[in-house]
Amino acid sequence: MEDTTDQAGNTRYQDFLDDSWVRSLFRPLLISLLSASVVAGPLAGLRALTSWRLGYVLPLALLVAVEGVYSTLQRGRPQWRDRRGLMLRLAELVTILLILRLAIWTFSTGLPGTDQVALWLVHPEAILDAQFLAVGVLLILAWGLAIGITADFLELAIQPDEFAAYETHSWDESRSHQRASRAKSRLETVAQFTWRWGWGGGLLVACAALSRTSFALEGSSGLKFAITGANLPPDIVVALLCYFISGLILLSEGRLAVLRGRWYNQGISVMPGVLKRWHLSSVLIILLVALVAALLPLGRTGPLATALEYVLGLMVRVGQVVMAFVFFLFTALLWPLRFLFRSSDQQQPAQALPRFEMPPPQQAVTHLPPWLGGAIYWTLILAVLAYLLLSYLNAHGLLAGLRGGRWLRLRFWWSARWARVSASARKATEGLRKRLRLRRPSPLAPGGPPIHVGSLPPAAKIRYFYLSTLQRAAQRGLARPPYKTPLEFGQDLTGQWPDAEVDFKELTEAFLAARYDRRTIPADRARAVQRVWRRALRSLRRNTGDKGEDQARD
Amino acid sequence: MNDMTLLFVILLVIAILLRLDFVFYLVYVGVGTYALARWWTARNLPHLNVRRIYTDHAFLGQTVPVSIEIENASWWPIPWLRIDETLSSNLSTGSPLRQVLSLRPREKTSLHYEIVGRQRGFYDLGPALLTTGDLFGFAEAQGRVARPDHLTVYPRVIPLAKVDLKSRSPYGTVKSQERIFADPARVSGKRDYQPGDPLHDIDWKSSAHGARLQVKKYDPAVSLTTVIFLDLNKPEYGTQLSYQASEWGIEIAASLANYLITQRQSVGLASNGSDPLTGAQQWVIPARGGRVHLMKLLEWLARVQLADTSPFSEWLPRAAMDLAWGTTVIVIHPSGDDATCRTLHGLVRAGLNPILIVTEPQYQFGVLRERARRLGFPAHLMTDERDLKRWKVTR
Repeated sequence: MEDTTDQAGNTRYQDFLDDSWVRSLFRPLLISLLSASVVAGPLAGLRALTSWRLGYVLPLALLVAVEGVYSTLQRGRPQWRDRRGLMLRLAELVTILLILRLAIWTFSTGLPGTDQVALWLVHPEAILDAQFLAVGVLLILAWGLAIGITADFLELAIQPDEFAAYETHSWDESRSHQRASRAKSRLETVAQFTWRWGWGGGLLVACAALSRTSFALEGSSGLKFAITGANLPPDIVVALLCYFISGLILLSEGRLAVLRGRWYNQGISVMPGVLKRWHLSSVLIILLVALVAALLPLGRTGPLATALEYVLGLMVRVGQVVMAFVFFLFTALLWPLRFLFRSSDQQQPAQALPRFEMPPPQQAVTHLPPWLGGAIYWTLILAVLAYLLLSYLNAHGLLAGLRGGRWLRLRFWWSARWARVSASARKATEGLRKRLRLRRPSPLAPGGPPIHVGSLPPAAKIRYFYLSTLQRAAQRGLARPPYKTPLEFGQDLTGQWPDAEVDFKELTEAFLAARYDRRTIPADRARAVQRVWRRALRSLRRNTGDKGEDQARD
Repeated sequence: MNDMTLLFVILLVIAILLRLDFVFYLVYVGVGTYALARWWTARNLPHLNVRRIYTDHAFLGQTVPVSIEIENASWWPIPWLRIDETLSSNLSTGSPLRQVLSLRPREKTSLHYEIVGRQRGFYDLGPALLTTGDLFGFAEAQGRVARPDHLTVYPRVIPLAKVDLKSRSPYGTVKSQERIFADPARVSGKRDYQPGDPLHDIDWKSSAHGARLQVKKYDPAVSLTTVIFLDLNKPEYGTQLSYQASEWGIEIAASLANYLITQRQSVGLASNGSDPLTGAQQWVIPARGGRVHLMKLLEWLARVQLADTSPFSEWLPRAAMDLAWGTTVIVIHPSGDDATCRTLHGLVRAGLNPILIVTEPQYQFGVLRERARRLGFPAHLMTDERDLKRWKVTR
């Protein structure tokens, strides 16, 4: 465990790091081997399907896995807390893809010529060829697996909260593994790794093996079922062997982590020999078993394999018979239906529709050079790539010194530009929003959104009737001043249109009740007010002759 | 592990179907590792020899170092072995021994810890729980050390200077106030001859030297052959003070036995308490002298426990039936009730010399003492150490 005491002798729990677990080189090496070996199965498939030269993939996968393991280990350190963002991962990914592109050019396709560069300038997507995409997916798979397994094994280390719980005696002396709660127990983490490793290995083997096999029936009776397969290439075999052996050793490491955590939290002292001998013992045992297994007769020539072949053949035959019987039953069930469709069978075949030739698309006429779009695209891509690459190198401390100072200045310059652009954009957005808010029309304004009076509640209907009456009166030259109450303005209306005195009065009272009375207004009352409102509008219209609009509104 | 088994089966099927030697090899390695781990784990514990090395008797407050010697008798290493030692809280000095270690083939190692006897008793050491497993998590095995180990912590012995014990047995080694028990081996001086003095008491050398007949003067002495009867029948103790009073009675018995053995007297011990080692509910150890006998008495006193056994007044006459005439019978009883007093009176009439010691506080002990005096035996109230130390010869 790392010394986490400050100068005053106080324990700094947040800086705790399970050093003996994290600093080991053995485990990262195993994880890298395991992760790189994952690509072996799909690689065998790619070799079977394509004629690409893929000898560089396994070493490159190992390199990528080592990078993933290393960066994950670094990010697990307390002093790397500020470098755990997604940007760094993106930078790593871009670096990996750049290296892949270079590797493909170097080891497989050769360096691109000027014609190809010109093609990429016009069609940037052409750089993403099939080999780049396929191998890129494999490398990302290996890289992601390395990160995931390393993160899992980092989780298996003694965590700062466990250290704090162990060192703090305020929770009484009873040291229980439950004192420091974990979202996922170490046992679950190891079980998850085992499950992934086991079933991943099964798929890997099946994938690699199926890429080299072809189906065949054997025996004169046809009872013996087998698939003939050619042997796998040596590098694939070595990779698969690395996958399983390193997985077994990592399983042993996981077991050690589970026990170690349990012993630590229960306050059990562990003799140093236990941890020292663990790695060596597990390696020796696996090597011993591997050696003994190499001396055993291989299964395909043994009686068990022969018997199993016969059993499988029998099962296949039984399956065929069952399928034939089911097909017969199905056919027998459908047999009567053929009489239903006999007439349709005798119909004349439909006349072929006349074919219309599609006119050729008109060529867009442009005066810009064809390479301009590609050039802009590549400029942006290169800028982003350069930024991510510099971020990656800086995060790993590879830009220290003079170059580091320049990089830092560049970052500050870019941060200042970006902050200025962001502020300008924010200001423009605010201004636009303010202008839009000012221009928002009133619902009763002429250009406002239409109101469906029938869907309004009774109180809102009445308010609408009154306000629309005021609006109409304003159009007729009598607008309500803001200082006048509805009752006062009702007198003005009565003075202007004395015939509608009763209607204006009733409408005003209904409005006051709808606006200020808390009692619920029934729908019948709204309908009655609506009749009054129509009469009031009619009275207002008499002088204007605007009849068509009122009818339309009614 | 069901997943692993299923995986191996699927790999085997793939290997057979595809006829790939390499996949067969993988299956062999996987199954071999799994089988080896299980077989290995299962044989670890039977090949372990575990024993404790310690002194199995200790005095109160003494620290006893304990070593657990673990030997791997197998030719296979043990990758990890966890030992959880369990101890009584009366012995523990802190957190119990919990250790994880690994053993090479034929390796022997020792673990050390210390215990302190804080309370007299007969304690089990362990059982030590052993847990081992393989390196891959395929198997785990648990066991415990089969052989039981015990530690006897002697009761506290309070040193006594001089205790007022009387005896009717003549010719002992303890100086007596009774002149009738003059001991010819204890010459205290000389005096002039008087008619009637036995001739064998004349000191001829002194007579010749002084030209007058001189007779030897002897100190009186008695034999204090003593048997301590300790009542540990639980119903006869008070509910609240039963533990304290019984433990105090045991300490009195141990202190008196130590005193009497130091005085070169024979001491026996009898009790109706339970002995967890032998299972005896009523037992009598005949009176003998010597340090070895004292250690035997202390060991029984260390083990004896308060238990529901037969009533003291019924058991005492039977237990005292074989005692010689004049034997001092020290009865340690919580209350000295009527039945006990009647029984002690019977012992007086049988020629024995009973002494009653009451260990629980009594409000009217004066009445009891007077009654005992009338019945012919002394009674003493000893509820703590001061009472015991005050029990001296006053004359």
